Amino acid sequence: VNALEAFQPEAVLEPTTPDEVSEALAEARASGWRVVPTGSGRAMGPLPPDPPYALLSLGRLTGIEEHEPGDLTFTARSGTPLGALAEALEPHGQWFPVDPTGGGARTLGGVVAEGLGGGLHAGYGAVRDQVLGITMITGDGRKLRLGGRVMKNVAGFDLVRLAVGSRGRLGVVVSVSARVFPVPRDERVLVLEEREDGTFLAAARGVATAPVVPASAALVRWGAWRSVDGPREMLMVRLHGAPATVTSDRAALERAAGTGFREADPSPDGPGGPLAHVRDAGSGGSLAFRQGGLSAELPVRWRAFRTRLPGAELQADLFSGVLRGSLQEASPETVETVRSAAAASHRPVLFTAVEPPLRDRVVPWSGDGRDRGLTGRLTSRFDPFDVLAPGRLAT
Amino acid sequence: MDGASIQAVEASVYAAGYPTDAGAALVVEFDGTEAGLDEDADRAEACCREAGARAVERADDEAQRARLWQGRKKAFGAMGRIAPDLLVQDATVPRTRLPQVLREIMEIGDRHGLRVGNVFHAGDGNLHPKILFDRRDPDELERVERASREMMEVCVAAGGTITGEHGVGLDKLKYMTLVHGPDELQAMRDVRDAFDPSGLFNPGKVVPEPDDAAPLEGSASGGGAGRTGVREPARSPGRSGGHDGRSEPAGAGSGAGAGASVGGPGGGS
Repeated sequence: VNALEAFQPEAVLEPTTPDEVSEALAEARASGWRVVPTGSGRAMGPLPPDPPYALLSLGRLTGIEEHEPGDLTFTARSGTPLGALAEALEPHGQWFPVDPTGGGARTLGGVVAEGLGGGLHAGYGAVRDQVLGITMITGDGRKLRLGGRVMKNVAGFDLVRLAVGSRGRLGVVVSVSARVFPVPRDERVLVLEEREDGTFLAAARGVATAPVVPASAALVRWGAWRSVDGPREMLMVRLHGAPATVTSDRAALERAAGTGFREADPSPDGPGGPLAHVRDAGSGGSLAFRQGGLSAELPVRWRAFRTRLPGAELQADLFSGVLRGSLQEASPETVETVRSAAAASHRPVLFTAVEPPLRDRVVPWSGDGRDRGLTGRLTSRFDPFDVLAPGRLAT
Repeated sequence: MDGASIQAVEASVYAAGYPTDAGAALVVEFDGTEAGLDEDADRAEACCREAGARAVERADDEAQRARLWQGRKKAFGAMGRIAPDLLVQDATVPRTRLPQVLREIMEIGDRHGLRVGNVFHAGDGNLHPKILFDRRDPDELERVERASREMMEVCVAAGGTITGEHGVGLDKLKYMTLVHGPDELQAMRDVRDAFDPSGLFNPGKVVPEPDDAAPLEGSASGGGAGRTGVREPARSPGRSGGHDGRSEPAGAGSGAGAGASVGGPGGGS
């Protein structure tokens, strides 16, 4: 389900400059519309706001404003697709190591606003750690330049970390400064497939606790609707570094896991390649959910979802402990089954995709969609006229 | 570490064996999986030699490693032999601007007749200029304040910021307007107030109040190295002891806190 299809805005506003973002917000307010900022449309949230509202597309606010390779930093406008950013950095032997669902089609600002950069945080840190500065337009049209473009900066309260992951509720991100890394000299993609003897999850635990820092490590169970050669479950680990380092790291991981890995070819990294498949596993579909929790709890949580939802596609990050799942077809009972699996694993879930017939089965995270308490005090300062309406989290 | 810092350390009990006629010393450390570290170190050594390093020394064991680091880690303490007071600054600039900014910082020191040494984090552009002085000399104290502000201005003009790792307490409040506009400062106060609606927590720190801004701008030329810029502690009865003109500012004893050691005692003098 393309989340955007579920939205029925009064208008689509497409500013090309930060000042036009301020004007668009003023226009929406004058029209009595709330505003939903969007980048690629991949992270809209499952619940559109109550009408009337306008979509504020950042898709025309693109371009790299600054890239000084020697500084290991860049500044780009928020609508810049990650793919275009990668192309600009690559000739300098650099990259911005995020790997969100949707890959290169996602926008820089969208990933920053959502705060979810994908599995590479294991080796490179979370988006929140990589972003150095954000320019955003508040709901009442103020342009705030938060942070800066230097690697270390503690001048005052760190509003950059507040803005990352705030999902457009505090402001519309128009520009981002972030750090880049040297492209790794070598990459190995190691795969461990599910085995009959049931030791697969124990081997995954060994990887998670080995004295090695991989670029990423994820458990995947392919959905029943996919045709798969061989086992349906696998563990995929990416190693980055000097050739001697990744060879040594692989040996250490195999000792910790008590078994050998198969090596996969990392090069077919196009939309259909194996890395992209693992990256997007457990997202989208008719019903999708995400559960936070400790990595050490993953065996219990994995089994709780696998046994109750045998047809679901699952993905779990061995380092963040986040478990995701998606289903092609879902009924009202499926929503309850997801809840029962969450209860059995003692961690709540957020629904990240909900097809329209199921929308009345979930509720906004805050109950009625109003911000209260600390959140309410924050949003009232950044959006005093209550114009900004991001995609709402559902539970 | 620059030459001034090397000389100070090598003349002290913390001598690490750095060449005292060198313009600067760079300490590079690698960690991670052991396999591959030698390769990284070889590449770094080649870079250093290419850039004009006349000698590269490599630590092969923990004792050698500790000795090489000792010079850097004791650079602040070694300054105590040279002057009774030390102001350690903290600022960050984009990495490629380090050479230019270091030159400008030394020029500022020269212009104000102050002794300045530099240790800094070359990998991320975080500078720590050290200004040596004697607080009993009011004229010198005044020059330290002026030089500090000029150093901050140079770093900000280069695209940097006023503190990289030690943060804003009291001394750096007056520099906040160099890097943040009125809307950004108001946003910080808004966030603070959202967490602390009744103003209980550490009032007067981190973010200047709006009415502080005017006197702050004039303070550099106004001749007073006092505590302008600090919100009057009407909401902080616990800090009333600070009004004793002879009392030391909290943390001044260490001398190494970011910008913590100057200005406090000047409030009544």
